[in-house]
Amino acid sequence: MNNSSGTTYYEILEVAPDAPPHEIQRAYQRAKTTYSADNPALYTMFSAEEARELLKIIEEAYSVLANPSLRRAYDEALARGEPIPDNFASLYAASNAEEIVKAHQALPDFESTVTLKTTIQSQSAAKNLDPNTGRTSLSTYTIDEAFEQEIKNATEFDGSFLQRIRLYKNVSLDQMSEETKIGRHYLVAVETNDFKNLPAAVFVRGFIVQIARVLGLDEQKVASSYMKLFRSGGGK
Amino acid sequence: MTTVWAVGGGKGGIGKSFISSNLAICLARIGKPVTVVDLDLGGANLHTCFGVNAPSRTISDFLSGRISNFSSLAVETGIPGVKIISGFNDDFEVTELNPTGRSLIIEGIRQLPSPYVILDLGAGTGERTLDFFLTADQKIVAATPEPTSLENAYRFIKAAFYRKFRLAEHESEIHDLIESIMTNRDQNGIRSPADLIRRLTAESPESAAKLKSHLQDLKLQVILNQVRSREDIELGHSMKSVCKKYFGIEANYIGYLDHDNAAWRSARKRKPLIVEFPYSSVVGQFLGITKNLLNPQSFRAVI
Repeated sequence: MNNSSGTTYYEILEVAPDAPPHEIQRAYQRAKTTYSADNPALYTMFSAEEARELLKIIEEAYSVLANPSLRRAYDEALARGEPIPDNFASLYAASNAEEIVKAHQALPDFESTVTLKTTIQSQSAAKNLDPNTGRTSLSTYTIDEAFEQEIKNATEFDGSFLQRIRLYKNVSLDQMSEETKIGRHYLVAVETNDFKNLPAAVFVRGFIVQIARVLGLDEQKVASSYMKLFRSGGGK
Repeated sequence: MTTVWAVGGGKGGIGKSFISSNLAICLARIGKPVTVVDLDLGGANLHTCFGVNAPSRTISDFLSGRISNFSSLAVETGIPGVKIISGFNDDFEVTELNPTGRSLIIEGIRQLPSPYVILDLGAGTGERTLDFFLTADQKIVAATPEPTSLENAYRFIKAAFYRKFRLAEHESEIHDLIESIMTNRDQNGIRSPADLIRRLTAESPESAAKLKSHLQDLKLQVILNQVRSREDIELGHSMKSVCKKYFGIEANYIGYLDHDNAAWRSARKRKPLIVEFPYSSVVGQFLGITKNLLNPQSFRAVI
């Protein structure tokens, strides 16, 4: 069971697309009860591991549908018929951080200090212009033209290449983990191509997109290259 | 035109006959005459639930040709509006029920004069039982909260699903496509029928639509019997969700029945519960379930 295209968050929570918030809340609680490890109603149908995966998808669906602004954005994307990325919740939150901050500034009562702080940091970083210094949202680093060229021309991104880029850009594992909310052990597994210790493909793809975003790489290119490797290498 | 409800569920002893007989009485009480057909091969005892003697005429007589009119098998139960047809004599070889016999019975059921017919299915997942189940307009799956019962209920649903699926696959001529997807099931990440249908939708939306339209009438109505706690009640919702996420089919949780002394006391007395204890909570629950089955539009969810 995976959350590949075609399954909406509404279908995951088994609610109607116009379900009011209390129904979503109820459906979420029910789904959590259903896919918790020792529920006798799962017996012989879903393994403990499959249930865990389902729970993750359920959590993700709830995190979007329970949040009015995320739900609105999700509905709009659905209505436009856009393909929804697997990790919509975190991607959306990242790409729209600035818009959200703007919206919050317009409504001072709802100011979110956390998102404000990150944009202020990135704005102040942007002011510090030096042609020999590269920047990520987390770090600065000295530009190495040859390596930049290598990254630019690369078509294959495996774990060790991603690690080299991360080290080159002075981003520590802990920073990466903090920023992407991906567990440290998963990041290590990604960088060592240790596919057995990675979750299902949908999640790995989400991980790679986020890592690529932090490292300022072409997300689609990196993700599709890594996923090809992941599948042929025995990933789930 | 007769409306047929079938009560199945895999395991024996979970109350299929109990549910069939009491649903029948509920229907009769609200003015809808009904015939209950005991299709428990080799274990027919529906008559006992009504407190009447084993009928002298049974489906065996119909199959052997001794009685040519299926509806003349129906006997009174002492409850106005409810008749029963008994299954098989013990001396009747169950293996004698070949596919022709099966379709003769199904035809006979459809021509019964009562507006409602309830099929009390036997335990197990034999082809006959599945065919009777799949022919019904309302497909009721009964279970109790015990793990053994849930396991058998799923086994029953699985068997019914695959029987239906094979027919659908055959009729929509997509066998090769399915075969090719299943050959690479691991790469395609297929762990359940729902995954297969999703994958098929991605590869050929047209074929998937055909398959789905065939599978559409496999809609299940779940009843939980002998519930003792809040957690037990919740299991029905879980079963509904598992049906959706595993098979991609719809299930309604149409109600639960309390574990209640009234039920076994009436069974001991060989009297239907509704007759013996008309004011017990279980009778109220039966009425709710009957209404849910009669009017899906005004379906009342279990909460």
